[in-house]
Amino acid sequence: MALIQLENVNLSYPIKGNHITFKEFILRGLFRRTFQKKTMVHALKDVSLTIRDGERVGIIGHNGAGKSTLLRTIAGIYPVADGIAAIAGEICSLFDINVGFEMDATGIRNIYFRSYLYGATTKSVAPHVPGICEFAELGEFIDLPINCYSSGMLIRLAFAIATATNPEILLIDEFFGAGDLAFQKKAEKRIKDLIGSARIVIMVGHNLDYLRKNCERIIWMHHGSVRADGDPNQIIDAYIAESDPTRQVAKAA
Amino acid sequence: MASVGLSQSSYLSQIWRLRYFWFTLVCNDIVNRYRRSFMGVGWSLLRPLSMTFVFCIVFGAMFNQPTENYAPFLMVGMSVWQYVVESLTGGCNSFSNSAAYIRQQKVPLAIFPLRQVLSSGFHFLIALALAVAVTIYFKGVPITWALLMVPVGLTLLFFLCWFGAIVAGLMQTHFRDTGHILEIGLQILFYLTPIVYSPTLFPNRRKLLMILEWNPIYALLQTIRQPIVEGTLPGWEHMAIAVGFVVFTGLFAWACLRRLEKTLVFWV
Repeated sequence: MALIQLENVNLSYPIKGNHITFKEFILRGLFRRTFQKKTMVHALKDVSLTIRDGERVGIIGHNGAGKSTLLRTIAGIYPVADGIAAIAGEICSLFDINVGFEMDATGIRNIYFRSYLYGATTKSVAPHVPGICEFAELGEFIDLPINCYSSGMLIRLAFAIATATNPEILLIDEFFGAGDLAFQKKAEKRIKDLIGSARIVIMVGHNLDYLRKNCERIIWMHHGSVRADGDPNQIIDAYIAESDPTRQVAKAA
Repeated sequence: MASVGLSQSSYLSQIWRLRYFWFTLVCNDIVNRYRRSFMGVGWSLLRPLSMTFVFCIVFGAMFNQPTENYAPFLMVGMSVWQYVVESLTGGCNSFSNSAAYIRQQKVPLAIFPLRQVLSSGFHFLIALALAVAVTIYFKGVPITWALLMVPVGLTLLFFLCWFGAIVAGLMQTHFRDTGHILEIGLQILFYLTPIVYSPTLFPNRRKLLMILEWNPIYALLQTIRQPIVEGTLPGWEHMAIAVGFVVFTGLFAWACLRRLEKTLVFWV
């Protein structure tokens, strides 16, 4: 059974490029001067939510609202500073599709390599390989180095690998716009099948039409907190109404 | 999956679970290092060979050492030292180089220094094999019981390098000048460790001798070098210092990991 439970989760992180050198560290220590305070970003503020088996959840919000941060917190990549995060279920995350691919290796080798990152072994991947090849529909390209793939082909391969092992929790960070129409239909069906076997799928995206069609629940993030959580149509309409219309067109495209 | 405190055993089992992942990375590192050079593995051999040649001429004359003793002594010493240097300087950047993986998936972070130490370890074993070949050339086949000590010494060396690489890598993520400090520190350590000379050269310098004899790197080196070059077991003090130092470094690395692992993703 998969379950995600967040209770009053707060998360802040230090701003990048704030590093001090060891020399400074020692010198300041010697002369008892106070450290320059670390500048922290408060990325999640009192986020509470429960996601149960079989839910397809979309997360929307403007840039920097904490969507990806929330996803990475659920994945266990970001540590929770304050609050409770209880996540039950095997997680498969699809954040940056290029990570876990080796560009000068063939498609087949990359199926293995990327699965290893998810904790698989040669034996456990082997039975899935034909299915992954079939789903990704790469034809002869599967035996070529993936640096000659188009971005759409890479996404197909990444998606096929991530969903092949039937993860209990699938986390996807906005890349659904890419991939051609036929593949999007297939991906939709695959996600529906996953839900059928009682799994959690969480998607972050700016493609509102896609999310409206494919999610039963939308979480609207705003400045690090949950602004609204519930019915897709209602929340997406409210979100569109509030956002700048010209910007909305750009997003939906 | 929830945020529970890590225990060593569960941490090791996480590393084991991802063994295919890091092992593939190590294999790629090794292949990539050689693929684009026509000398291939030859580079691994050329470096210690040329260094030994030069050192033999210069220091052999300076310390008045006969080549048949000095060359094997030097080659084993240099290859072990080179391994330590490569592990630490490589380990220093191991987390920042793997930032993409760290941000994508929750993985036990010790695998990234491990990757460095294993791929450097491959070159080290080649260099060590060459050193053994040189030893055989000058001194004949040295089959003794003492050789059984060598695998123990190598295991200790491997763990020392791994733990050291973890500490260096963690430090680098918080202090950007770690690389420079490490470079200077290693340079000093090189001369303070009896690698190219033997402490028996200064029997009258009591204080210096104390420093040299208590140098843990030297102790560890001797557990490998003495059986190969002289065919005798290292002194028990050396073994004790070596084991103690590896255990100490391991505990220190573990303490650092526990404290910093969770938030490391913000620093890489």
